[in-house]
Order: sequence, then structure tokens, then C-alpha cells
Amino acid sequence: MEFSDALFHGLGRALSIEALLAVSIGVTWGIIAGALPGITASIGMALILPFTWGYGADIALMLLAGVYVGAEYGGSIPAILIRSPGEPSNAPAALDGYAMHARGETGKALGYSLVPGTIASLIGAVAMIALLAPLARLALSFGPPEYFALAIFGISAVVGLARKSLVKGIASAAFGLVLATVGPDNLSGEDRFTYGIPGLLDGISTVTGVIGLLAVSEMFAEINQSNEKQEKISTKVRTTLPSVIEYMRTLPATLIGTVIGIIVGVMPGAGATVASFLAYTESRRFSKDGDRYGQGVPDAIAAPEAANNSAVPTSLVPLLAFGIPGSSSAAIMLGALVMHGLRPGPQLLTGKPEFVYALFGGLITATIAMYVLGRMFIKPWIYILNVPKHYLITIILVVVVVGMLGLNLGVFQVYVVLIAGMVGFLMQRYGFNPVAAVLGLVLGALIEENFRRALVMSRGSLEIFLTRPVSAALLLLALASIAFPLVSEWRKNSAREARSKA
Amino acid sequence: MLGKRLQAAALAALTAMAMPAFAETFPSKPIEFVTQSSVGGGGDVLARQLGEAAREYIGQPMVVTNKPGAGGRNLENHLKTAKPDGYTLVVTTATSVLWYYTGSLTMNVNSELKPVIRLQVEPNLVVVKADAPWKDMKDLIAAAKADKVTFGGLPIGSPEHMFFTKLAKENGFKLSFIAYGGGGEASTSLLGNNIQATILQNSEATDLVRAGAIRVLGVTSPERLTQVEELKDVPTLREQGIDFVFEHWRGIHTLAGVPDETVQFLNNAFQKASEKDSWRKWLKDTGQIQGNLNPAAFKAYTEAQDQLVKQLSTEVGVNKRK
Repeated sequence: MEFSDALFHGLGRALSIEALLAVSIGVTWGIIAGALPGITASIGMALILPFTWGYGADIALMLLAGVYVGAEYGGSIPAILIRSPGEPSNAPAALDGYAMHARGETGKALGYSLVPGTIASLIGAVAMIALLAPLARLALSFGPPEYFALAIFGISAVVGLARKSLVKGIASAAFGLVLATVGPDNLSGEDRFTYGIPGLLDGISTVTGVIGLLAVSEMFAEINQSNEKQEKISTKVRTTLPSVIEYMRTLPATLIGTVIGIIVGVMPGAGATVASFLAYTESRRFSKDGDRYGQGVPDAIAAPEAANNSAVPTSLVPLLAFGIPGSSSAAIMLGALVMHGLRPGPQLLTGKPEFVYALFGGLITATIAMYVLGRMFIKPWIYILNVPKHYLITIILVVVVVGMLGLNLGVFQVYVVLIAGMVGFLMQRYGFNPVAAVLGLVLGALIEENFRRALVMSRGSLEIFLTRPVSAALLLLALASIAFPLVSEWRKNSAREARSKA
Repeated sequence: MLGKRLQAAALAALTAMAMPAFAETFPSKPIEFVTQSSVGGGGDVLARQLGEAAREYIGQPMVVTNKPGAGGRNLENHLKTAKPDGYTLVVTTATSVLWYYTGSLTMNVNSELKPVIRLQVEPNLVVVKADAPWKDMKDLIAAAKADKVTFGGLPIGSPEHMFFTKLAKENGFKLSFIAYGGGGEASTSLLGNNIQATILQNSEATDLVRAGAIRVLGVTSPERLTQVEELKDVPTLREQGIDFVFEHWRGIHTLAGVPDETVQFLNNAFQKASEKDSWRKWLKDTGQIQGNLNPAAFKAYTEAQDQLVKQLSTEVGVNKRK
């Protein structure tokens, strides 16, 4: 398909009054759903899908695209303001975003999420349609060995995340890996660590783990803080946004994040969460502020927020190219299409390309709507979340519980999220790293399943990881990302020792 | 406005009281479809389409309740709280029977539910990539014997796992099987040549066949798929000397204990709905095949399925009910 045609048709459809209305409603709901911990993009989409019943398929698609786009930005708002990511993919932004907010630069922190996210979302949408065929080939070229290597590369980030105490960081990640083993083992058909509890038959979901370990634990920490005398964080919250020059400085990090999001977003089974963690750790290597990651630097917000936004359009590539839903959000888009009597796949692309154009147009207008709405509501958000802590904590906890029930997995998930919250709180208190645990939980299944799948492919030979170029390259990168910080640390230490001796 | 509505309500209440016969007063409130699918999943979309198409014959709105997760236990628990009055309907599928033996379902479709109508069938297709050298099952088996094929599909206990295990056992090759979760991971893996053969449902495969991406080596239905243009010449497994028949299907059950006349009423309404052009068009456009069965035939069908799954899962060693 000609790109200019697609642009023309797509935007033409997306600029009709009803389409604009659908997209605006979608984005507004998406930002709200994204901001509510426990209501993820896909749940937000699932909740609104039945209302699209009476409308055309293109309107339904644009509405859902709006929710999907809006949710990725929305999730960064609580991540920055209360260190509770609204979506698993916003977890990295909570690190530096909250640190920046604690310094009082709240407006800037939100700006560094919104603007890079907008840029990345636009580039991602263009990539989705202009590079559909190559991206689809990329998705296919990723087999079990490559997924395994990618996930190992991802988990090697622990070394970077846990600068304070490497041992505790690795222990935290290992804890996350153990959590990931709970539930049915697809490869043997056995249930593991479920102890006959039906609620554990699906394992511990990423959403439950992230919300519990990061968001709920933060609420517990806040409750605890009000009992203890501690140094107060800045209460003077400034709503000043970053200047154009400041935005320009984050452009390299934004672009790194965007590219990672585009590539990782395409892969079924990886997606926005893996992308944003990778963007956080990879941008660090190139950032001038790399040493100060974790203390509230712009690049550390821009890169992961760009990645999770550019992963949105490209996660739809397998759906458009082959009719294969690569993520739970794409599965809901598939549902919407089937509901309207359409079956996505190569036939949709050649036979009814207007729907693909409409989706593209919807993504573009949704991104613009996200920017406008996001920009308009930065100040109100800050004021809303500036209500006295005891109200805020109560409201957030209620929302989490409701969100968990909304997952449709029964009341058991509420217990899991609260226990995870307690565990996360204790981890933080004793110097362990809940973010590393989340990383382990997110990547655990990817690592284990794909390791075993690869060995079935190779009939038991480990060579497969080294003979396939992409897998070998990723594993080398992982090795390097573990080795370099350790070596440089060791050098610094030995230099210090030498000095103290002299 | 309000007055009119009150009048209407009062009238409705009066008529309801005035009619003693059950068949005439059912349904007097909305009917619930319970499905194990999440919103947008196969069973969910079927229920919504059916609710829309049958509304004029039922005279009440139909709402969909999604109870995914916990290997079907969430659905079971929801059904335990329901009354057998015909207002609670379940979207059943082949997995409703299958998971009783190979999964974590504790509810037996045949003893605890009552069939209303079977609506749709989806034969399974044994597929390979279009550029693979194998043209039929014989070629595939020969290649598997030479250890050139890695099979893949849904996890242990799925129809494809059981089929490939049976195939390996009967032909004396060592099975290399990669289990994938849902979300089309197996199809991506097939197209990326990480696995060489899998089983897809008709609706998943049709488009890929048309696009020339995959080749179908055999269909698992009892007869050839004459309804589907692209697949009408593909031989069944039976024709190729392999004794394996397995169809995916979707239908509607209600709770055991619902009066026969209520079931008959629902069956009539759904039958009429599924004769509508809009329903047929929707099935055709999305690559599904109409497979209507009345309650008696549906009962016989699920009982036969039960026996088939029981025997097959025992044979390949994944029966959890021994």
C-alpha cells in the first residue's frame, strides 16, 4: 500500500465528527483507566468494547485505539505523582518520575512523559503502516531462542537497577523469577505451587504483581510514614513544564526509547512492559546523565515512556499482517473486528484496506488528542493528587481492589495484590528492590518457557543459542551489560583503595 | 413520560399475573449468557451476536457475563450460584468437555448441564508452512520419522497435543512438541519456521491459506469441508488412513433441571436467529461453519465427544480422571 494513500484515507476517515468524538472519548477513558492502578489498557478496552456494538467497525477500532494510546500516558501520572504505576509498562517511569516530583518539579516530570510519549506514538503509528511488512518479518524471525536471549538481556538490567546493593538486587530478581513459576506449566501440563487453590491456577499475573509490589506497597509505606518522623519531601509542587530546549535535550533518549518500543512491541509475548524496561536501561548507556539515573533525570522518564507509547501501534502489526493477536489489547481489537464480521489478516489488508487506514488515522488523531488532553489536565491532576494523603491513599486502595475484581479473576486476586503489597513494602524497607522483583516476574515465564522450547527445537543441544545470530548477539549484549558496571565499579574501588593507601 | 412507563410496567405486571402457563411468561426478565471467554474472545462474540439476532424472538435483552480464568473454575463457581430457571445460559465449547479430562474443570457437561442448541463447528486443520516440502500426512509422518519436524500447539492436553502424541505412538517416531500459550504464538512460530506443523481452527487458518502462507495437509472432520471454497479438496485424516476425528464446536447449554418447555422455547428462538441472513453472513465472513443441532442431537453429540476425549486422553496418558 502506498503510504501517502494510507495517510490520506486514514486521516480523512479519522477527521469526521463522529470519529473525532469516538477518539476523544477513547483517549479520555484511556487516560483515566491507565491512571487507575489495576485497570490496564486491555481491561479499559474490554470495558468499553460492548458500547461500540451499534457503531461501524472503523469507529469501534478508532475508539479502542484511543483507549490504548491514552492508557500508556495515563499510567505514568500516578507513577510520577505517587510512585504507583498505573500500568505495568509505566513501572520504570516511577523511578525517576517520582524522584523529580519529590524535588518539586512535578510539572516537568509529567511533561517528560507526555511529550516524548506523543513523539514516539506518532513515529510508532507511521512505522506500523509504512514498515508493516518488514516489522511483520521481524516478528516471525523471533523464535524461542531469540525470545530467551531478549529476556536474558532484559534481566541483565538488574545489575544497573540495583547499584546500591547488587546481592539484594539479584535476590529480589530471583524472588520475581520464583513468583513467575507459579501456575500451570504449559510444557508439562502440571500445576506448580498452586496448592490446590483455584485462584492460583492462572499463576500470578503481571498486573497483580506490579500493582501489588510497586503501587500497593507504596501506599503502605505512606501509611507507615505518617507514623514515623521522616524527612519530608518538598510540598511545594511546581507545575512549570519543561522548556523546548529541555525537551530537545531528551530527544536522543526519546528516539532510543521509540526504536526499542517499535521493535519489542512487534513481538507477541514481549510487548510494552519489556520494551519500557529495556528502554530505561539502554538509554542509560547513552545518556549524559547515565550515572544519575534513579535520582530524577529527564532521560530516564523520556526513554521508557517513549518506548511504551511506540509499542502501542506496532503491537498491532501481527494482527494486521497475519490475523494473529500479539497482545491482550490486540486480542480485544480482534474481538471488535470479529464482532463486526471482519477477520483481520492478509485479506483485510488487501481486500478492505480502509479499515487499516482508519486504524492508522485513529492512532494519529488519538495521539494528538492524548497530547492536548494530557497538556490540559497536567495542572488539575497535580491538584487532585495533592489532596491530603489519607484521602488519597484510601481512594487508591479502593481503586486497586475494584480494579482487581475487574480483572474477573475473582476475589482471590485482591488477597494476592494486598499480600504482594506487604511483601513489596518489607522489601523496600530492608533495602531489597521491588522493581527488580517485578522485572523477574515479567521476564520469568519468557525466560523459562523459551529456554525449554528452544531445547525441544534443537533436540537438547545448547548450541542453538549461539548458532542463531540474533540470539547470540543479544546474549553477548547481556553479558556486556552485566560485566561493564561490575568492572567499572571494581576499578573505581581499587582506585579508591590505591588512593587511600597512598 | 414517567406516567406512561409506569402504566406499561403495571400492564406488564398484570399480564404476567394473568398468564398462569409457564411457557408464556418465560422470559420475564433479561437472560444471562455466561462465557469463559474474555470480552472479544470467541465465546463472548458468539453470545453477543446471538443475543442481538435472537432478541426479537426472545422479547428480552440478553446480557453477557464473562468468567475467564482459573481453568474454568470461575465459570463453574458462577454457575453454582445460579438457579435452574432458564435465565442462565452457558456458552459451551469443545474445551468444556475436554478440560473435564485434561484440565481443571470439575463440572461435567453431560451430567450437570442441559443442551439447548449447538450453533457452530470448527474442524481442526493440520497445517504446515506453504513452502514446506510435504504435501500430505504421509509425507509429514515420513519427515517426522527422520526427525525433521518439530510440532507445536496449545499446551499438554490440547487436541493438537493429543493428536500428535497419538500419531507419534502409532507411527513409531519420537515426538518433539513445543507447547505455546494462546494469542496465536503457535501460528507465528509456524510462519517463522520455528515449528514445522501445528493444528489450527478453520477460522484461524482460512485467511492464511488464501494468502498462500500455509498449506493444509488434512482436516479432522468426518467429511471434507465442502462449505469452504479453499478447503473443499483437502482430504480428511480418515481418508489418509488416520483414525482421528475432532471438531471444535460452540453451543448453548443451560443448567440441568431447567424445564423441557423452557429449553424448547430457547431452542426455537435461537434456531430462528441462526436462520437469519445476518447470522449466516457473520459466520461466513469470519470463517466459521454453521453446525446447528437440536437438544436431543446435541446431547448425543456431547456424549460421544465425552467418550472420545476420555478414550483419547487415556491413550496418550493425559487423563486426570482415571
